[in-house]
Amino acid sequence: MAATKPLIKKGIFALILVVIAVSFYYLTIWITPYYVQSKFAAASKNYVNQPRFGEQPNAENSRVIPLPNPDFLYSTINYDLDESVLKISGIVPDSTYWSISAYQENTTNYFVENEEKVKAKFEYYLAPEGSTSEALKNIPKEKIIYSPTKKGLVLFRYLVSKAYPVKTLAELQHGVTVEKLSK
Amino acid sequence: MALNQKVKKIAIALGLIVLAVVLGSGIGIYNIASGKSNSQRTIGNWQTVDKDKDLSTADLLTIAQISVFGPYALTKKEVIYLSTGTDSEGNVLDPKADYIISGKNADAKYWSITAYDESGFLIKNPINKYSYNGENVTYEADSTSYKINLSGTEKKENWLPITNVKKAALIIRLYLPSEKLRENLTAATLPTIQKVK
Repeated sequence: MAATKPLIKKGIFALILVVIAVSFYYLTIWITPYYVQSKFAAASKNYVNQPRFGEQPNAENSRVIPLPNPDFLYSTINYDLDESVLKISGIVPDSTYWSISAYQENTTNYFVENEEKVKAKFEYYLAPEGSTSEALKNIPKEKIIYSPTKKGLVLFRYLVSKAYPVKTLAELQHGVTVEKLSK
Repeated sequence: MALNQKVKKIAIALGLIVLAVVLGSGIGIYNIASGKSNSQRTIGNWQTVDKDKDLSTADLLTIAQISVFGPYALTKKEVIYLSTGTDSEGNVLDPKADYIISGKNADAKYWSITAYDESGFLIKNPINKYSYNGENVTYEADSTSYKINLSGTEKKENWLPITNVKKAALIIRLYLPSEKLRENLTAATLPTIQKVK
């Protein structure tokens, strides 16, 4: 009996070590996307809740986020909905691919619309999930984007094409506005 | 003596706990870096997300891998991404060799093939060409098929440069793919990559 007691103790300790190792495995893969997003957010910390307009990616100007698509013009809004609801509006090109997509704090996509559904102009209200903001009163449901996390990223993609060369697209790209509405 | 024994035991226990933390985190980092997960599907030499899975519902490991290697991806209904670092024979792409990528116009609103370096960034080259898409590729006489020259040395037509890189990778993007293409994505519907020199 006395001999089995230390064995049981060692067994329990071994089990604890396994639980710790497994927990840290999952913690590492869970936290990595948050770390990546925070790194990108830090790079655009002066642009919170403001649009940031990118140039067409090339080998020199696009070495922060991997796998840039050189056919696109990208715009981003690094958002923090702690104090406000955001009204995002602009113009949609009619014959080239365009999309607005939103990513939560762990970089997963939770919203996307493209030019096949949204015609001519767009207007969206970005609010935290469960928001009861007065600013959302009388706003049609389809215009509200509920973010699962308070922080995240909105990404616009504009496809450079024969019908929409860079110069024309850049004008549309720079026409995007973000308005902070009181929460 | 008894106190020394106790201190020794505590030190060993603490050491083992630190080892468990390092081991758990290390395996996590290794698995992320491996690029392999249960949500993956291989079609010929191309890798994509599994047929029954999607980026928004993927497992934690896949989400972590995407955040590191290709963040801010979209779901399959919007775009299908396929990646490869090998030719159709399964051999790692050699930037010093010449390859021909042969394919057909895809049933999608927009498709492209882009070359990346070992870090996933665009490759600096003398013609500032990083990709071909359905609009700017030069088609064969049938107006549907194309041949892209993937090479580190200049080619006359459809040259996709992979100059001065240690490793090269290709990404196919199929934006707004037809339902038929989404459901029947097979090796026959994807481009082949043949080494010619």
